Amino acid sequence: MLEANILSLITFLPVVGALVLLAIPENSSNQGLFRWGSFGISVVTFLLSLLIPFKFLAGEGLQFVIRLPWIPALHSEYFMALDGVSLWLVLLNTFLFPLAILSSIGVISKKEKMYYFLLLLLEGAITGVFLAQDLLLFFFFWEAVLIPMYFLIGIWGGKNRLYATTKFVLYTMVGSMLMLAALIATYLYSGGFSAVSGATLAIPQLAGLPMPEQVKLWCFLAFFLAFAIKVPLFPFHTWLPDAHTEAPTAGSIILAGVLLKMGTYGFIRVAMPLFPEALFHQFSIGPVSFTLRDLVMALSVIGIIYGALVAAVQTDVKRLVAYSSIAHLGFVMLGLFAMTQQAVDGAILQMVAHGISTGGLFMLVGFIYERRHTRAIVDFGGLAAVMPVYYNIFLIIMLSSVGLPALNGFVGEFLILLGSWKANWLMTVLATSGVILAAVYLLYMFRRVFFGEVTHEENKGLKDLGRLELASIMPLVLMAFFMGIFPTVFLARITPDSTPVVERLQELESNSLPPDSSAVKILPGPEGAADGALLAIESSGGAL
Amino acid sequence: MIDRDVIGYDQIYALGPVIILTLTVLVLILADCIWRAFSRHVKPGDVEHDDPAGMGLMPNLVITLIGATAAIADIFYLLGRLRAGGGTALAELFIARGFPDATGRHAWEAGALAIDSFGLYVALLGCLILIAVSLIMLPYLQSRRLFRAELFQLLVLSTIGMLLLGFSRDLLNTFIAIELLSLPLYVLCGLSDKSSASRESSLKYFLLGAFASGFLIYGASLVYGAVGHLNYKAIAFYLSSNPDVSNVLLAGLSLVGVGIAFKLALVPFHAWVPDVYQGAPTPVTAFMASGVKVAMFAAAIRLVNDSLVGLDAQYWRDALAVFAILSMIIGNLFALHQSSVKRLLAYSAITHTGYLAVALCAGGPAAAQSLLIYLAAYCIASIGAFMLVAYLSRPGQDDVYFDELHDLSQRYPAASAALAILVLSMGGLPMTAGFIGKLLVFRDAWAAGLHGLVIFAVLNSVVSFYFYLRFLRAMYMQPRVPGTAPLEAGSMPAAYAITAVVSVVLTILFGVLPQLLVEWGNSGVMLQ
Repeated sequence: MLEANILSLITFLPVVGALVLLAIPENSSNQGLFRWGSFGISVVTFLLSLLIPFKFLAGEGLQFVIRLPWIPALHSEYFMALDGVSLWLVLLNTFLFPLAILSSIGVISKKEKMYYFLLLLLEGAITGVFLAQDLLLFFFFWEAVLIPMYFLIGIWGGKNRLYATTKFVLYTMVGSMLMLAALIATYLYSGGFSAVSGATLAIPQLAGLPMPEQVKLWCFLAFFLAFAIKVPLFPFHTWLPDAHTEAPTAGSIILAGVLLKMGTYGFIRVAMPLFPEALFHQFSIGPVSFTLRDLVMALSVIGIIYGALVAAVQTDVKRLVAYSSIAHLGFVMLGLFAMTQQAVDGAILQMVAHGISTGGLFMLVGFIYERRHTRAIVDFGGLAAVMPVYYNIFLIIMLSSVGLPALNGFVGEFLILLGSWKANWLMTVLATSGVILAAVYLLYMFRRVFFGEVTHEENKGLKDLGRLELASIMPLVLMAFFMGIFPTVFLARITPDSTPVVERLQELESNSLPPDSSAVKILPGPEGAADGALLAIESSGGAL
Repeated sequence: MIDRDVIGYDQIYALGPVIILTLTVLVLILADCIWRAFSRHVKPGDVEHDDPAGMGLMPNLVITLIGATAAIADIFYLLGRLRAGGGTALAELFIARGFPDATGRHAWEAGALAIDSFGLYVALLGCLILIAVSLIMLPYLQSRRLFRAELFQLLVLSTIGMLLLGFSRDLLNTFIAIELLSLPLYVLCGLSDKSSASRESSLKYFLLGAFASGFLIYGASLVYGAVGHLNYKAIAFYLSSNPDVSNVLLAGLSLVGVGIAFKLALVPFHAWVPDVYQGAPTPVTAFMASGVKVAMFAAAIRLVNDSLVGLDAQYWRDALAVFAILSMIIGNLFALHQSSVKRLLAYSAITHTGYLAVALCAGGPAAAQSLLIYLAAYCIASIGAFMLVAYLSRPGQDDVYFDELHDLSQRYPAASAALAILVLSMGGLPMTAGFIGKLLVFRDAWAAGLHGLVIFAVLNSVVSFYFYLRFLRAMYMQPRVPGTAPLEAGSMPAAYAITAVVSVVLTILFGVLPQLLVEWGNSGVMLQ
């Protein structure tokens, strides 16, 4: 009973909880009810979601399936299921929300009821995005995420919040509305335009749908735009620094931690399985000929380097972390579009890892902002002596974001780089420079904030982290270590379900190569050997 | 097909809803006469002394509600009969026939009024709108101290026009129904005789409405000259049997189209909308935004589906597509920076006309279903939104400005939440009823091959989100503007509260479980 409905439960428990909170009148005496009530609901949701990995069978494809008619007239179903690709993202979401709520307690002082109400709605909507297997349902959850986030940034955000939140919503809207048009086109093709028989909106059934190549290309581009804006891929990233900087701490944690992953997840769940042919569509500008996939990889690499360079010159810590997100998500995109097993697995792992480390960084920035009401790097210095606990935790989370081995950031990045070498060595070399740049801007910021003399009088009396703050950050620290040391726990469940997508893409890739170069491809020698070696590394990595 | 030229019992009972509403008008007039005869005061203004709360309006409201409810009951009864009978139409009135061929079969045969499921569903929407608008009329009149009993008569009369328009399949009938719909509205717009905006609204609406009627009737006469008949079926038959369309017929159809486009407020025939919507008393605006739209689009889709089907699409679809595109652009651009809520909603109504015209372009029974669904969702949202404007606005002002909405959520959390949900539904956010209407309209247009139009429409809905979000921004995020007196709306009268709750609940219910609405719309159009 519980197992059969667990996906509905973890999606709608927060929503129902939110509605219950809404029904309670707000007055000064029951603020605690909203804070701890919403925290309790999110904790229960997390505990329920924890059952999933224990019951999960690696390699069995979609599991915990719930499939009920929803809008029969449109062949749309309430179709929820999860596989190895979405498993950890769902858990990341349910894991981050209690921590985000905990970190807001005492920090948020106005309209508390509405704040916690919106956070819980947001949790349900995001979980839904990762679970929906029906295209229209996916779209519903996708759009449902927008409004709570719009309010969270717009009401509790910083000075420039109105601008940032409107920009965030409208940018996302442009993408999602075109996605709607593509959704309609796909739906109509699935039923041969009769819309009576055979039409479907179930994502697994839509994969491999026969459609004219041109239509597939346009549909892919529409989905691509929606997802690329969300990720955000360079040059669609301009909403992100504003939204992240202006959002309240919990909002930033969720934005960076899970919201951006909706984009990358969309690629691997929807865009790539449904319209794989579009990726190998040839474009040519003058003498240069390239495929759509090359273009995306190039944009990812630009994003990695651009994000890192811009992060390096930021004066505001939060804005720096925001730009670092662009760089990190560039890695994920590179991995996804490299289309090798290692790279795709690495990308999925990196999505989760980035949620932990960047979520943690935003939380830590929030802590210091609450004390000093500034985030400018120059306002700090020498904090290591004043706040030793804070310093140590910041160090760990920062290093995990840099990608230090034994911490969570390393495995994903390593696999991505390893896997994309085979796809495009030049891009990989350029991307690797991004790893170095990440170390540069994060360590440089770290030095200026924590080392040296305490330059500001106000900073001398700063209190170290309180119990509540420790309780909200420590799970992230532990998780960073756990993911870094036992990556196979995660990878073993990801790989079997990412393989079909990767294999399909690779098959198309080998078909799409021009005949003269296929002769080179046939030689199995070095490539096969390299595969074996990589697999060896992967499995030994798990034994560490 | 009913083979009877004499109007018999079958036809009379099929017109039941219209007859019931007509009787309601008569009862209302009678009640008013009795009230005046027994009241000591002749001038309505004098009633104030005896009846400060305006309770004298209650009987009129009750009679209207009873009449509308009876009409709805009759509609459901007729729908039941229709389903049991299995035909496409329950009855056709004033049947006309084409010339018989050698075997004695008529080339075409159709009634000027068709009591079919589409018409009955339009009638159902019309009666529901009547109920909602008369409900919000009462507290509005009470708060404005406008004790004008005659407006309930006018409202019901206008609704009868709506019903007839939904049944009409003949240009002359269409003309008469449009006049019946519009004439009471001209009076209703000028209801608050103290406000110059209201008088201006009335005059403008009247002049442009008369102008539009002129176009329509002139076009109809040209069509008659070319075809020899005004029945839609006759026009369709003529078009399909004469591949070379005469210029007279084209000119006639275009003029009919212009007349209807005026009433629909398609750009470039929209200029009257902002002033009329803003100046008219808010419940009347709600009626125009919902009732008139439903009726006119019903008339338009009937014209497209029943008669233009024979005409090559290039003659009408491209022109209509241009009007649709212009309506979306102009409506959106002008709505972006309006400071008045009613004016913004007026421009957004023009944008919605553009989206609905996309469905007209697609044509066919599926588009008729989608139109019904879209219109139902839009009516729910716009009646609710205008009701909230009526509730929030100051007695002397009859409009709300965005400056005044700032920080409204602190003092009126329920009203703010309701308004937020309703405008999001107008914007077409998933989880609200407005989305499903948009989705279906876009689906039909895409299936009809109008890809560019769909892409244009979806991008426009992003633009319209900008101004719908302005409501949320003002109510929830922006601090009060210094120097603006806060709105003093007091506690919500019961009639407002009922309308607000019903519209919000339906918006969310149809948003989350669209099947309810889709099924309703599908059964509204049995394939013809």
